[in-house]
Amino acid sequence: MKRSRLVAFLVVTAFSSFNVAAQEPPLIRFGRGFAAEEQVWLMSARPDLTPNQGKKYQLKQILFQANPERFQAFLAGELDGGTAPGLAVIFARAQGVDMKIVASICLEAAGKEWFSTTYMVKDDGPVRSAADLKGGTVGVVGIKTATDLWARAGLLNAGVVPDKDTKIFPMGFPGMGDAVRTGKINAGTFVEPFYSAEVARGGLRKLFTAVEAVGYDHELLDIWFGGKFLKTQPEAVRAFLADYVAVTKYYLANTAQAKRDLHKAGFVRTPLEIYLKNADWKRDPNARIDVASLDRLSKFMLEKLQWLEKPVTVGEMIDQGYLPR
Amino acid sequence: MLLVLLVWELLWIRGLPAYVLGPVEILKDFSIALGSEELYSHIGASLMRSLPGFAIGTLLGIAAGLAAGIARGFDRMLSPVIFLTYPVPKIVMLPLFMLWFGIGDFSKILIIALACFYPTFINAYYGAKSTPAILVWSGLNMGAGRWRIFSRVVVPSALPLIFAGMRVSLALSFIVMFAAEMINARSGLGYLIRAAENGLRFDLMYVSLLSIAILGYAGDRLLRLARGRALAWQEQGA
Amino acid sequence: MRRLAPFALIGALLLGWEIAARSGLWSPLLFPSLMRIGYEFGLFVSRTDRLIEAWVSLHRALGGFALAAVVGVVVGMVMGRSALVAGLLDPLFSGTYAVPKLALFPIFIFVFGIGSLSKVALVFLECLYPIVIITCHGARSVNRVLIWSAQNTGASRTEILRRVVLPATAPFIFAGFRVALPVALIVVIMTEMVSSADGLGYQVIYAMSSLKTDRMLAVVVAIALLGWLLDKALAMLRDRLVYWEKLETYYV
Repeated sequence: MKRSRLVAFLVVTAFSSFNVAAQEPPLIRFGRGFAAEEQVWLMSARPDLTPNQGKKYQLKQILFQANPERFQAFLAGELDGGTAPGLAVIFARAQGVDMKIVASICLEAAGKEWFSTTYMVKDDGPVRSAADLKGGTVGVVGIKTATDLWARAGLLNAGVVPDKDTKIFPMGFPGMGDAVRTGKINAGTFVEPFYSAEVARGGLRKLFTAVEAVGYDHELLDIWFGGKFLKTQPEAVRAFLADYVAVTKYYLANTAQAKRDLHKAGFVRTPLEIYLKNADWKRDPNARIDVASLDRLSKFMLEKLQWLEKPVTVGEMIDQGYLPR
Repeated sequence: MLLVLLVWELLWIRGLPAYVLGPVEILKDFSIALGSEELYSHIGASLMRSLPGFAIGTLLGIAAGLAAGIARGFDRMLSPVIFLTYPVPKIVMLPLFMLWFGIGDFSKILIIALACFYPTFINAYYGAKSTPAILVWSGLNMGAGRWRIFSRVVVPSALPLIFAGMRVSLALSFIVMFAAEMINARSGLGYLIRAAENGLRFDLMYVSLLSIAILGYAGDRLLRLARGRALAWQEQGA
Repeated sequence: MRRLAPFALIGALLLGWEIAARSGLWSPLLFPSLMRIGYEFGLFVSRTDRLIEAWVSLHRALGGFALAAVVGVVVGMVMGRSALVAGLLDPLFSGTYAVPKLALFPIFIFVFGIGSLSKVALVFLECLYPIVIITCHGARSVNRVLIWSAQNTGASRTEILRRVVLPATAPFIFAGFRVALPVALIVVIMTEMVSSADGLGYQVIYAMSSLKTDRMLAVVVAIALLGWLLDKALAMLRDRLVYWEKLETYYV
């Protein structure tokens, strides 16, 4: 009599706990960065724009200073997905990390309407062109990140050998402007919103941009997810991306309002007036990925930078199947 | 000491580069910071890492050191490993620990524990080894069991060295905590000083510096106090 | 069997590592096998540009250490023999002993720039303390009888200093050196991990950011090897200069 009661009790508890688990939408632990990811941040700043959030998935965004930490956190099992430069994901994939690019955030594109990450030097300093950086230092955000790649590309274009002739120095975005002004580094990497803030302060001059350094428009930031998470929670990812595309469209149509919301929610520290006037990166309203550009970048990483040991098939690293049709 | 401060303040009045602040200025900024909550949260975060790390590392170090000091088999196995890895800066394992144990506090506590283990191990080891044999013999003569000899003879005679080791470990715990936070953290005094460095907030830099100086000094004093009471039968030289 | 005992623990640990690494439970990025680490280590020591990184770290450490050695010995000896100087400097040293001087590093970067000088300055500062404190202790405890006999035979003050005090203090000086040398290496690596674009500490961070855990551990092995070699070199030097007293233990 007692034993069957115990069994019944256990069965009921187990069943109800299953029920509870089924009702809790899966949590997406998402690693975000400092700049250019407006649509992603908006998903947390304006949950009213994301109908699936709270129902089909929950979102927890964790801030990272630079890419390497994001990937390390993923390897340590602390993230399910995040933002990253597409080329960094290719690099990580080549090292054996199990992740896939599923959507685009923004691109580096030439043209007056779009912003491209800019490398700046002191206005009254001796550096007039990239060739003058010989014997100096360039500040980038992290090792093996996009900013690292562009810096090297820009140096190679001018015939300067990175690491040997010019040192690459990792540091955070917020400190770049002052580091250049005080002579700590000779050139720094500037993205919005820091770019406009520094230009407003004055004293810095543009050296080259990311697009100029690489020579063609290319994917800047993309959304990635771990391979395992994609297999176990495909519906959550789809719901997440459906909301993401909706928010992207909202952002492109109501940029000023979106920026105000982001500023209020604390995602951006730059003063609002400057932030509103910023030029923006190119963003695809459907979050489609420019695969060809990533392919070219991977060849560049292989041949000119020796970051990859053997060629990679970029197509395998991208899966646009989770985006809404 | 006072002379140095006086000279420093005079130089400051004369005019120093922007990144060097005078003592009065620093004290002013510090008292402002004491009023705000931010400083306390950073100090708390730092202590939450260094104290558990110190405790774990020191306890393990003392235990293992004493054990190796009295048991030859244990000694032969463990000591070479410890002495071999002594000159390696334990902080280099931080990236690996972060990969294994996550980017949170746990990996930092482990690194601090690892670093603190060494000085206490070495000192406990030598402390146990240098127990005057005659005391051990008298104990054995009077019929004391092994455990009693250990706790009543070996440990007390090793205590002075153990405390010396703990002193080094305490200073080390602050250093490693600070370094780990400077390398990779979102809170704590090491993080504060880097964030201040980035934003050219020299006032915050010096506040962080002063905070850790005070923590280090206070900790050392506390330890000296504890040593004084524990070693009441010994005169102090150092 | 007894001789093998020290290797027993190390061997067991290494074997355990290799088994865990190959078991497939963890990705090789988390737990690289010893063979990969060994391979990367071989690559490391065979490439000149990598060895240059090692040299960068080494010369920073040795530079700061040498400076601290010279200044430290002088200051320590003077403090040991002169009550006035001791009274002045002792509170300074004992007061700031527990302060992590690493906290000064960001300020040093502003003063000396992000290159080697800021790191050498910090090494100098950190190494100074043990050398001064231990040398001072040694200079103080020179056997009075030796000094009196020297005075008796009509030696001048400088001669006493040079031929009695200095050799008597020498074992202590080297004890101070033995403590300070690992500190020099540790400080260099730490500062390079915090903020640098070259050196072995930077190589650790670089390898980690490139997700090459095997290379990172290979660099760690290289650093360990360097530390061990430096210690052995110092011990050899000491045995030649302080030939009348053989080294037995060292005091931390």
